[in-house]
Amino acid sequence: MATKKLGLQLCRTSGQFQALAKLIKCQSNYGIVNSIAEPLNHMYFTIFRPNVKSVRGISKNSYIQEEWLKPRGFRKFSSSVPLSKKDKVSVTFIKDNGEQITVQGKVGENLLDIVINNDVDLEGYGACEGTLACSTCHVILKQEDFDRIPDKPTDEELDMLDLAYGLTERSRLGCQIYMTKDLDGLKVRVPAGVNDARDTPI
Amino acid sequence: MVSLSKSAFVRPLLQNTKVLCSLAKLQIIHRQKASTAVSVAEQTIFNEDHQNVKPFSEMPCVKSYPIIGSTWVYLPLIGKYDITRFHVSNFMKFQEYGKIVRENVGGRFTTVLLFDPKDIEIMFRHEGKYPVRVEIESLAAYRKMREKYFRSGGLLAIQGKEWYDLRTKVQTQLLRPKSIQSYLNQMDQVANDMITRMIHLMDNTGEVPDFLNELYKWALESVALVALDARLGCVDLEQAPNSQSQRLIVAVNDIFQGMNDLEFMPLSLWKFFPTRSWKRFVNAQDVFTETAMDYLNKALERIKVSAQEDREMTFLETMLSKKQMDSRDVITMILDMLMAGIDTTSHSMAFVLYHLAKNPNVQEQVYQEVRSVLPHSSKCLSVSELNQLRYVKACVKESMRLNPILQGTVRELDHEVVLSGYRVPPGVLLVSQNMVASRLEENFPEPLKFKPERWLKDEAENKSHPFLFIPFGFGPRMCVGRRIAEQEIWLLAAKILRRFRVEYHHEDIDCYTRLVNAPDKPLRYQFVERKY
Repeated sequence: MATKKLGLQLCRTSGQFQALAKLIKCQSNYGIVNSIAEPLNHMYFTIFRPNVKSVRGISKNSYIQEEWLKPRGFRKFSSSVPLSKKDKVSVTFIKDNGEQITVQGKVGENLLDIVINNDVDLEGYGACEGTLACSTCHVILKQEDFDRIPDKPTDEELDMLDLAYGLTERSRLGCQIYMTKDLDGLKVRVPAGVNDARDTPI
Repeated sequence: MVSLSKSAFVRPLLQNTKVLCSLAKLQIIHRQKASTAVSVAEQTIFNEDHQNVKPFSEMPCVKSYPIIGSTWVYLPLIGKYDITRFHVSNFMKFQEYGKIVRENVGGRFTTVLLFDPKDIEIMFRHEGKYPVRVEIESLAAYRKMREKYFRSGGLLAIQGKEWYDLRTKVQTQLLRPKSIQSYLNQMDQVANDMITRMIHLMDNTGEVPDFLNELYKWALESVALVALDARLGCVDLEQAPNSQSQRLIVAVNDIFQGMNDLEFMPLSLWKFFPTRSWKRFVNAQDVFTETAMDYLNKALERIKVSAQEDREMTFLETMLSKKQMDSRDVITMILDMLMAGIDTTSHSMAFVLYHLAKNPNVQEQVYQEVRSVLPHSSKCLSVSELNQLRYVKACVKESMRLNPILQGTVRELDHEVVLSGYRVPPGVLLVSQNMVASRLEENFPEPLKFKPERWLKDEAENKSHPFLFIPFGFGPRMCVGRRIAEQEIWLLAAKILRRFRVEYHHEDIDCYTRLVNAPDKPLRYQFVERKY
């Protein structure tokens, strides 16, 4: 705010364009909601920098810095599990109509990843992308499988499971079951209602 | 298991009335192209109680007239409902009309209030991939006006594919519990600073003057950690009167009052010419836009400088580095977080403290739990320690059951459904009434009693219907700030209760509707410092 006021003040008192150059060069000014700034910016470039496309990241035409749009090669900030071991594991999804679909996944992936990567035909599965906001990736396990899954359900998962359709004692959310070598060959049942009720317009 | 697979098969059936009757028993109303298989059995379970589907026109309805609709029932003197106390007026409607009520609001749109958790469940199960909610028109209008900075109205104001595209870019960072846990230490620091500030402001009786406003500052400071990657200084002890944090705090109040006036006024005059509330609202929004741009540029600088370093990026930096993310989307998102993360979180916090102050026995149990986890009050909580605070979390849940921030959730479905035996056409606004339903004896025994034990997984007896308690909503459109809000509240609640005994000796506090539910009396809590 202070810089904005200062900038405008300078415009009025001393040589307008000189001050304007200062105003526009000052990056911090770019947060100001000021409809004057853009035409002035354009004028500045036309008069002083006809051959230059941008000054310090600010282009002639755009009030918003274009470089925001450029890709940057950074490490992603994400909580997903690193896939150090590329060991293959298989998972079988048993649909409510009895159809069995066996697909390959990697150690460290969760069941939702595996469904998506393999394009498994489970309509509406994982609607919230594993953010623990819905229960569409609900699966039912055999007791021994349920017991040997290393990650026990968190409070967040339990809260969503409560809202799952057809909840059982051996229910989990697929997005929270991370595959280990030990779980290779896991068979899970995908109960009816999980997908149908959500995604079909009935 | 019967399975209807092709729309070509279903449609001719529906045209035949005889078959329609038999189908009606199955409670299936088919409107659009059903492209995938539909399990009939599962549909019948949803609605097994209903034998005959009645048309929408037979649903009990709040008396309404042409043009004004049911607006008159909210007018002073002639109307019986208080528009500033929706939980009371909706409870009265429940008593008068039953568990489902139709209303023609303002003569413009039809709403259906759902008090039955079974109906609420159906509503959520049918919301589809792109759930539709009501828009905040004033916010959308402001952002349209400033389109240089905003490409869309933001998550609160857009629908369909457009909404999904924006949501999907941000939700994994915001909603996966682990992502927000990386802010735990910083949030903890904010909570500590808040307590220091409270002690500084306390009068002789242990009351903090204008405590609600202090909570706003704390919520803004906390959410800014994620949204702006910065400490704003809102809970600092010394604040210059014209500092950025002070201007933000003033703007926050203007925005909430503004939105409330603009959204709930029977006549939306601001749409035709700039009214006073509109101007004030715009000015306040501008303050936020400026601030957000400021911090965004700072984050960009940081990214430039530390491009080579191998480090975990923050939420803001990740957003700015995403290829497919338009810079205007980032600003929109940041501002959404700031807008939606202040009154909601602080009012929830206010009610948690209120209920604990009113229930000393519960508070004592909370204290024992927090003390066992946190032997030294100023120590930072770790993720595992936070997870041990089961009773604190149960208290927060119980407080949200009694005093949620919103009455319930609004959804507009794109197809017909059957609710409580009535056929409800698409395009109607369904409003779940979780707050009213949660205060009914039939849903929770001793409903008005503050009993956190209800939420302790192992001890809970007589499980209630799960769709009664969804304070953050459910499904793909669940509150995107849920993890941030919960973490903030757990932390501050634990820290305050570790340090003080909270008492309240004034008139009972209820809520009134100010965009969200707000405490209707000043929060004159007394904070008594504990000896050990």
